Formats: sequence, structure tokens, C-alpha cells
Amino acid sequence: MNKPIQKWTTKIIFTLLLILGSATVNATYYPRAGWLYYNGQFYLASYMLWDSPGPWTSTEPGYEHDLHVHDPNFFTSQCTTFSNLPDSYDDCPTAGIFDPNGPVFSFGSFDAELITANNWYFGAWQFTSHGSAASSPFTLIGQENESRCPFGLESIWCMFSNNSQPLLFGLYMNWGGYPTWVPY
Amino acid sequence: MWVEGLSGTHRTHEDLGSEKFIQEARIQTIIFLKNGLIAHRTHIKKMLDKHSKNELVENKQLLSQARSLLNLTQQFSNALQAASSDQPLIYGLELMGESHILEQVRTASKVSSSKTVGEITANNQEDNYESLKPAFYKSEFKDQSIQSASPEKIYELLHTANLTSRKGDS
Repeated sequence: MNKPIQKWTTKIIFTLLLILGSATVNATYYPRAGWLYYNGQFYLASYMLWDSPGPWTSTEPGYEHDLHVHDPNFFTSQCTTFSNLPDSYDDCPTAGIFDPNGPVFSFGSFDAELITANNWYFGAWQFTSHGSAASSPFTLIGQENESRCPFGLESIWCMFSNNSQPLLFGLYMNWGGYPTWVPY
Repeated sequence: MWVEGLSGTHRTHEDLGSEKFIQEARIQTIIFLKNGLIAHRTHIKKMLDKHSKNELVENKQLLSQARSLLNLTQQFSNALQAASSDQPLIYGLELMGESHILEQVRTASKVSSSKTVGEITANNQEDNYESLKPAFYKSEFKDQSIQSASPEKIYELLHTANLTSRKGDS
């Protein structure tokens, strides 16, 4: 008599487990894996890989890749960036503004929903001048953000953080050192 | 700037003439792309060092990653060729300055159109979206020969890309 009930119970539990499992398999708003490359001088590049991009907390989410160089005397110029992130933007002009703990150099995507799984994305920073600091601590951060501009205006000055996740921290970059790859 | 699905910027705060500025933008883009290729070839080598041929050919996720790396190799290569051969790179300029200087630029004979931030936002509604970006800006670069290649071919291409880049190092 109890068998049909047991079968249904098993099915329901199994289905619930499947739903829970599929919803939580490595879904992250920040890249699940990647690299930071530094050539020891003015150039850095980063690769980003998502298993399952999201879940996004905003209806129009963006993504930003932040390089926080703690010592403001390490890179003394603004940066320029290049990226193949979808609908990408260069956030260098905002570096050093509202950054009390050292400049944050960034690039990002205005439309994070276009980011796809198992696809390597790339972005790079270039600087033109170096200051007196021989080394600096740095942090690499993945950030979900959203635009708070009037509709239709895409501007880096309107992108505000919703969530952020340190990807690399407790490390130093050294001026004039060997080209270095650091995985995260 | 936008070229082959890669977008970026060049910026100056110095008092440069427009010709010098545009020339510098192209030179810096070429340097950027060359540095990108150096970093990229290391990435390909690391992937080949980490995974066997069987893993790369049989694992769908790794295969997808391998395709995207090869796609990016082609993207860099095409972009470098475009930047080195005077093909168009710049689609827009953003200017910041005092209003009377901006007005001079806005009314210069060579400027075909311009909009202030206020003009961009004034008439934009959900059904009347106006973007300053060119239509192709959001289109993703996809090399069809890489997308349709068999898993074995992908491994072969990855291996060739690694060997070619090492040859280029010497």
C-alpha cells in the first residue's frame, strides 16, 4: 500500500535535488577561474572564465574587473585598457577618484548577461609611467555592478557595485621583475 | 576604439594636435595587441601542459575553452593586421573641457555630429533607445572555421598555435 507513496516521495526528493544541484553548480557573478599576467613593466593582462555566469542581483547587471594597486606611487599614470568582454568599457578615468586606499584600475562589461560559460575572456591594462615604489601590494577583484544612469546613457561614472569578490590578494607586484603569471 | 570585437581606449591629457593624437592611438593599440599575443601564447602553452590530448578532445567544457582560446588568437591576429594597415579603429571621441572650448570643437567644420550628455538622455525611452556606439559594437567575434572544427582538429590547431608562437619567440 505504501509503495506508490514511496515512489512519489523518491521522485519528488530526486527532482528537488536535481533542481537544487543545477541551480548551485558553480554559478558565480565573478569568474570561477583565470590568470593575471604582469610583464614587470607597464603591461598587465587578465583572463576570466565562468562556469555558470550569475546569478545576477540586478535586472541590468554589469561586470567589472578591478585591479587595486595599493601604493599610489607604483603606477603614476592613468591606464588604458583593451578587452573582448561583451559590450565592454574602459574604467580607467575613475581610478584614484573615491579610492582612498590606492587607485583601482578597471575594465568591464555594461551587459554581464552576454557573458557565456566556458569561454575565455580577456582584458589588459597599459600604463605609461612608474613612480618611486619598487613594489606594491595589489588585489584583483570581480564585481557585479549596475548602471544608475538615466535610461539610454551608458557611462562609467554611473556604474555602482552590487557585489564584489577578491580573486587575488596578499600578493605584491615588483617593478622590473620577471614576467609573471598568477592563477586564481 | 573597436577592432575585430576587441574594444579599448586611448587617452591623453597633453596638448597634442589631432593628427599626432590619432597616430599615437594607433601605435599604442599595436603595442597593446603585441603584448596581448605574448600573454596569450603563454596561456595556450599552459593549457596544453595541464591537459592531455584525450582530456581536451573528450571533455566538452575543455573543448569549448580551447575553441575560445583559438578564437581569441584569431581575434588578436586580425586586430593586429587591421591596426597595422591603417584600417579604421576609432569610432568615437569623448571630450572633457570648458564649455567654450567644447563649443569650438562642436562647431568645427570637420565634426559631422555631436551630442551632449543632456541631449542623449532627454529623449531616450524604453522604446526609443539611442546609442552612440556603432551597431556592430556588441557583436561577438566568432571564427566559423574554429567553431565548426572537429575536436581532433581543435587539438591540432592548439598545438600548432603553441609551436608557431614558440618559433616566433626565437
